[in-house]
Amino acid sequence: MRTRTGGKGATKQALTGKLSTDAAILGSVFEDCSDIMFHTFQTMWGTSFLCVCCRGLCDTERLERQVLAPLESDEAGVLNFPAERSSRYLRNHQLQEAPVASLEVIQSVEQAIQGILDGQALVIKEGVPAGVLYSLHKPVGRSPEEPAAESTVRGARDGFTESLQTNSSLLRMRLKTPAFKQRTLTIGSYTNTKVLLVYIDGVIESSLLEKVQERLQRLDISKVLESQNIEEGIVDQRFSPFPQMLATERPDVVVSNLLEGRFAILIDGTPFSLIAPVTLFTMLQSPEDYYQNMYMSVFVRWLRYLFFMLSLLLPSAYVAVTTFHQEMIPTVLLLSIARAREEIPFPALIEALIMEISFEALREAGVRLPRQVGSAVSIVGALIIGQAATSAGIVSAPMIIIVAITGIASFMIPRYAMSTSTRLLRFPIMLLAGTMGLTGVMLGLILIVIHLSSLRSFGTPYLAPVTPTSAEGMKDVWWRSPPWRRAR
Amino acid sequence: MTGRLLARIVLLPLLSCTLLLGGCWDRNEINDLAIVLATGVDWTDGEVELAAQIFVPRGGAGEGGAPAESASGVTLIRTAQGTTIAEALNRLQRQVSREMFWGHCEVIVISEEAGQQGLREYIDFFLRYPQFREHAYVFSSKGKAKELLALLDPLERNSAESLREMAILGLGARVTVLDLAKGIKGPSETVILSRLLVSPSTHTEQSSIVNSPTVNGLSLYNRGYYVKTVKEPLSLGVLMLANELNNIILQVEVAGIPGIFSVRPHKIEARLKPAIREDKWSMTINIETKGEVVLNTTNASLAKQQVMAAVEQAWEEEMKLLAEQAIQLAQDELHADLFQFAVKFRRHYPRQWKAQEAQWDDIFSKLEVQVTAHAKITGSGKSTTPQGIPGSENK
Repeated sequence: MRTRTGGKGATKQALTGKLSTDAAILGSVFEDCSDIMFHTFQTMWGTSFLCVCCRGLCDTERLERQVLAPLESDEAGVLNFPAERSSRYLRNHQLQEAPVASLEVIQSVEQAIQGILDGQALVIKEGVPAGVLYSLHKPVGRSPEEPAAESTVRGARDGFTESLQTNSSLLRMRLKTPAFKQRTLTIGSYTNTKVLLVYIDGVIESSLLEKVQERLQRLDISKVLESQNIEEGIVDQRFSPFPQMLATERPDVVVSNLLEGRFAILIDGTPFSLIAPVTLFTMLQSPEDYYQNMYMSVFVRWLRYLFFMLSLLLPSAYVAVTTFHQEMIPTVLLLSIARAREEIPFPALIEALIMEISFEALREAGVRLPRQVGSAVSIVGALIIGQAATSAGIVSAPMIIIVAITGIASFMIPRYAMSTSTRLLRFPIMLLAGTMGLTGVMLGLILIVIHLSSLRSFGTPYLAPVTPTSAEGMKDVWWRSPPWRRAR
Repeated sequence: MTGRLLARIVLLPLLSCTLLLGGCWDRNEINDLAIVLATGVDWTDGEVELAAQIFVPRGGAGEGGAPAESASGVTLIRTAQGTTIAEALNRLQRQVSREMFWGHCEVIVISEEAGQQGLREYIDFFLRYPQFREHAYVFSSKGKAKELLALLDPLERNSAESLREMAILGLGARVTVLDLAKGIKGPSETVILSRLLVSPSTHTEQSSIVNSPTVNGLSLYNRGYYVKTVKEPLSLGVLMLANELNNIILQVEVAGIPGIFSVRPHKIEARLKPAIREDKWSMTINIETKGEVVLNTTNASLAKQQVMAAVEQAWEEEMKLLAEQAIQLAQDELHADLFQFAVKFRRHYPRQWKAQEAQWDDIFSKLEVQVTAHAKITGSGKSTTPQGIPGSENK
């Protein structure tokens, strides 16, 4: 991984042990970085030390109490040993005896820079060509809260936070086994974001692990602010509208997936972790399916499948049937649709597009607008779309019902990424329905199925276990077997 | 990779063009349709007259979904004449500003006058013209079919709806276009249609068209031509043998007991059993019926076993009589195999049928038909003893 530090070729150097030189090198690297703190001091015995740390990330109070104070008050005078005795000497002595849980001895400037930016404190002793990095991170961020986008009635209430450490500990809390492994990688040439690849040894296939590790290492991007930055770079099919990784804020979801042989990627700075490989059917499962009565889960799951199809096809089916296949509508229903549509100036396709687009706009506005204005938007939207549009004769009442059902259906999809892809695909299918009727709808469906059957998520076919068929996998698709009936 | 990318960049707009070139072909907005709910076929001045009941989509839109019009709905009638039914349809379209849509025509009424000219042309048209439903119900009418269609039934949204409901309820014969075609094309070459007429206005309605159609008797067709109208009680026997008798209350008189028992059957089933013995063709008809007494004007108590048995026997006799009258009508008067005996013979004796097919008319006229009936009273209604006899409680 390349590292852009802004230094003038200084990064490859080793620490000299001469405080003025080292300070100059680091000072030039951190030029104009006012949050980097340089502190040089001398003990009463005359030994000089250089301490460098990042003011916001490093816990300076602990630094003073646990590292600097013992050094400065070196009463025994052991520090006054001749410095020429190399770093081996240092390794056995005072700097390492500081009451800090984790420290690291480093030699190169590059490591020093990384450590400082990571929130560690660097201390160099005059004459010793090495430094010690103390892990004195200041706890940043919030405590775990219930994830807003994935709430369940029954189930764990904690969610990931922006801090990688917290997130990894949330997982460890649930997986008290040494088989739970975490590999650390750094991605993003500017952000240098820490990324954890977590898996369970013995459950995950090693080829899968190698594949994802290789893809992560090959990833060359400048920033990692959200999991999407990584997801886009490592999925199999980059141009697919379907999500090939599952983004979740819930530690219990991650754990359950790890136990099913998947891996997860935790990213520093975002509460969203990525899980793969996934299939279409895992995208339609909610964690709550496993937390409630089996029959209820099966019922809800089928309801979800039905509404998934509705959210994709309902407006198109309505457009196709009302403009091409009127004989398919029950007579009485046709008569009431005819009566409602009589005053509408637009063809059904245009009517559907108007409504669907304004619904999407309303939803987007609702998400983007500040909380205080949000409720105003929903009131105005409901009024305009629901009431005014029908009474003004722009949109017919049946169309409002169709759009409303479609909206509810798309909210029923438990994974947000999946619901966005159906929302998107709805529009081309609607155009096909408007030009070719049900033939067009079928054509669109066939294209989607072709795409889905060629899609793979880290080598796993996207339509598995339905095709390629696996009887074992079906138990978690068509219904939800109780745990003792499932393989793992 | 670049080649594939290039192919995609070129192909995508091209494929989208094919989509647009399709150009909403065959597209028909509901607003551009004249939805036909019922069709009538009449015979006027030596030409076919086709009548269509067209739905008028007014009201409802806008005012929060509250229908502005009355529940009877709005329909209009348009008629046109032609030398053929297709020509009449063509002329009918000339009078209507929207494309006529026959896909929801669930009722077809053919007047007896038109039936006299033969059904063949109509059947062919209804089964060939793409939009007509094979499952549309077919009725016969005493007068002009268009007058029936013009009725505004106060109970239903429109008269097409009331006719459809009547067919589903089983008042009269329930015959669809497909049944009609099968009956005429089949070996028996007959069909029975319910006959409709405009019920005589008993109450003072605002206008004469605010009225309901009434099922009154049956129109019998033989070889595709209208031959006869039968009314109650003869029509009951005909319907019974066609297994179409539903929703009926029969009056049973028992010899020796003055008064009447009214019986409502739950089930009336006529089983036809054909037999060929030593070249002698015969037909046995078993009539199985079960029902409940709904009225007893006699003084006899149904709690008594012998009264019950007597009623059952009288009922059996009555059913037998109805059946025999109907068979007599078919065999001796019309020489028409109204009850599809031929279908039964063909099914049970395919070889003999094939050999004798040409002589079927003769065979049918001389066919020995035996009728047996079995009636069972399953309940005496809510009361066992006769009710409302003055002073009966004092005894």
